[in-house]
Amino acid sequence: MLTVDIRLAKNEKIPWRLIEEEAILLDLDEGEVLRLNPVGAEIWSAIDGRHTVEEIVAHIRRTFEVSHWTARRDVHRFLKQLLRHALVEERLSVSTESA
Amino acid sequence: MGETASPAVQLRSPLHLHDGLRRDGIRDAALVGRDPIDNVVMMEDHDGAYYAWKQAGVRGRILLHIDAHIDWAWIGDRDPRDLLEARSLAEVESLLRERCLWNLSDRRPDDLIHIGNYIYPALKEGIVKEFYWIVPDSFMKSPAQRKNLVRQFQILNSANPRAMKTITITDHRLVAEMDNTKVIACTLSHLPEVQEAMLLDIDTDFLMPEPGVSARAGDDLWKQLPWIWPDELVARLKDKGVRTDFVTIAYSVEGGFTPLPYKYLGDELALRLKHPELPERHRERLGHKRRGAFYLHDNEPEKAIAEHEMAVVLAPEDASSHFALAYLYDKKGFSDRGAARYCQAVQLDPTYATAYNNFGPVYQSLGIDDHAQEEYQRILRWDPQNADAQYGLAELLAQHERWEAASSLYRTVIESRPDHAKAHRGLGYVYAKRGLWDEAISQLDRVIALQPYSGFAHFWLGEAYFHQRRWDEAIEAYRVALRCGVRTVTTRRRLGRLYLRRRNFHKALKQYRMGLRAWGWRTLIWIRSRSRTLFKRLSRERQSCSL
Repeated sequence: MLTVDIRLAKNEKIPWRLIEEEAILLDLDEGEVLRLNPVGAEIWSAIDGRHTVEEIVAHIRRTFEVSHWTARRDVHRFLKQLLRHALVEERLSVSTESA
Repeated sequence: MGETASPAVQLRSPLHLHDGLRRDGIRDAALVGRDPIDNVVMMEDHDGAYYAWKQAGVRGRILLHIDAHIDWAWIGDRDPRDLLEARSLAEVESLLRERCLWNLSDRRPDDLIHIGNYIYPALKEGIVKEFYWIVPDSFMKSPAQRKNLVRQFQILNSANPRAMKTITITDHRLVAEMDNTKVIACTLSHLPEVQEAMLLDIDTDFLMPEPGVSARAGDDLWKQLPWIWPDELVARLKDKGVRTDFVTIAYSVEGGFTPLPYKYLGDELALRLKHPELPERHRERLGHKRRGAFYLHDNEPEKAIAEHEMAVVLAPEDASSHFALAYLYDKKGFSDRGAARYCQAVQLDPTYATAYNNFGPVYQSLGIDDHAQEEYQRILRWDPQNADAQYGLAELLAQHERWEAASSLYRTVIESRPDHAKAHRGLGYVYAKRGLWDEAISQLDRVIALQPYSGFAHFWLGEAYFHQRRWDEAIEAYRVALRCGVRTVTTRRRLGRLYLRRRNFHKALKQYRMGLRAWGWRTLIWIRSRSRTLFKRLSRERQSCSL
C-alpha cells in the first residue's frame, strides 16, 4: 500500500542515465531496457530515499503545472509500477536509511 | 567441452611470427604436402588458434577450419552499459537494433571466448574474412547426417536470427551468411578452388570417429581407428591445391574429443606439414605405431605390443607409445607392467595424467556406467591416488544415490586436491540431497570461489537457502543461477514462489510464465518424439498386417 509519507529509494542494482529528458534504465537481471518518458524520468530523478511520495507529487505538480489531483494520480500509478518491477524499494524513514 | 585455459598456457611454442608471415598472396605460400611449412602452432584447447592469429598480427584471411566441430557460436559480448553512454535517444535505438547479443553475465569479453566459439571473435575482429568448415566425410553421407548438420546452423540461427538469415545446401555444400560473413561447410572433396593462401586450422578430433557414436554402437573405444590418417589428410589437401603460410593444430584431448591414445596424430600431422619428405626414422616409428593400432583393433594384442615396443626403441622419449603399452599390458593381465609404462608416459609428458586419459567420462556421459567404472578402476590400478579417477567413481556412486560412499570419495579427492571444484560441487550436491544444508552451503561457496559462474552451484545454493528459509539469499542465488544459464522450470518456479512471498505478484507471474514456456517446449518436444515413435510403430504394424 502506497501512502503519502512513504519514502522510496532507487534499486541500486539498476544502472540508469538521463538522455534527452528521458531516463534509460537497465534491468540486468531480467535483461530488459526500460525507457521512461520525461514525466517518468522526472519522478525517477526525484526518488532519492529522502523525499516522501507527497513531496514527489508536489514536485511534479510544480514542474508540469498540473492539478494536485492529476499529479497524485499519475505519480501513484507510476510508483506502483516501479515497485512491482522492483526498480524502487520502500524506505520507512530517514533514520532507517542511515542505520 | 573443456574449460578455457589461459592463452599463454595453451600455446606450446612461443610465437614470433609477425615478421615471418607472408601475406603477399598465393605465390609465397606453401603448397600443403609439397612445400615445408614453417609456422605450425600446436595447442591443447582450440581457442589457442585465435590467440595465435592475434599474436601473429594476422588480418583479413580465409580460414580453412578442419574439425568435427564448427567452433563458432555467438558471444553475448556487448556490454549493456554501452546504452547509457549513448549521446541521443536515436543512438540508443540504433544500438538496440544492432546485430549483437548483450553480455548480461558481467564476465569480461575475454572470459567469454572458449573452444566452442573462438572463430566468432576472429571474424568480428577482421582476422578472418571468409570461413570454410571442412567436416568429416560422414557428416554428408546420408540425408539424416546432412539434416543434422543443417540443424547445427539452425540452432545458431535461432539464437540470433537478425545476424544469420540464409542457410542453403547447394552442390554438397552448406552455405550460410552469419554476421555478413559467408560460411561454407563441406567435405574436403567439395572444397572449391581457392586462389588465396589460407589459414589452416586443424583439430585432431577431425581424424577420429565421434567417441559417443562409437560407444553407443557398442564399440570398444580403445580399439577404434581413425577414419582418416594424417598422411591421407595431407595428401587430400595437396590434391586440392591448398596453400597456407600459417597452421594451427589443436589436440583437443580435454573434454574427451580426441582419445588420448591418438593425441600423437596431431604431432604426426605437424611433422608431415613441416617436412613433407618425412625423415626415415620418423617414417619407421610412425609405421610401428600405426601397425600397433591395427593389431589392437584386430584383437591381436601380442603383435600390437611388439610394434609399440619397437616404436619405443626408436623413440624412447615418445610418451604415446608408453601409454599404448600401458593399456596393452594391463589388458593382458600384467597390471604392474601397465602401471610402470603409464608412469613413464606421465613422466615424459605430464599431460598424460589428464582426467581424459581413460574413456570413463565418455561412457559416464552416455550412461554406460559399468564401462565407466572399469575405466576409472584401471587408472586407479596404475595410479591409486589419481584424484580424477576417484572423482569419476564418486560421481557414479552419487548417480546411484549411494550418498555415504560418494561423500567419502569426494572428501578423499578434496584432501589431495583442495582446489578440485568438481569434487566440491559433487559433495555440495550430495549434502543437499541428504538435507545437510549448512554443509552443502559451505561446499557450494567453495565452488563459487573457484568457479564464480557455476550455475549449478548457484542453483543448489538457492535450494539450500530456500530450505533454510533464508528467502532473500535464496532469491539472489536463483537469480545468479538464471544469469549463469540455469533457466530451468524449477528455478523459475522457486523464484515465482519467493516473489509471491514478497508479495511481488508482477515478478512472480513473470517467473511462472517463463517457467510454463520452458515446460511447454519440453512437453512439446516430448509429445513430438512420442508421436513419431508411435507413428513408426503403427506404420510397422500396418505393414505387417498388409503382408
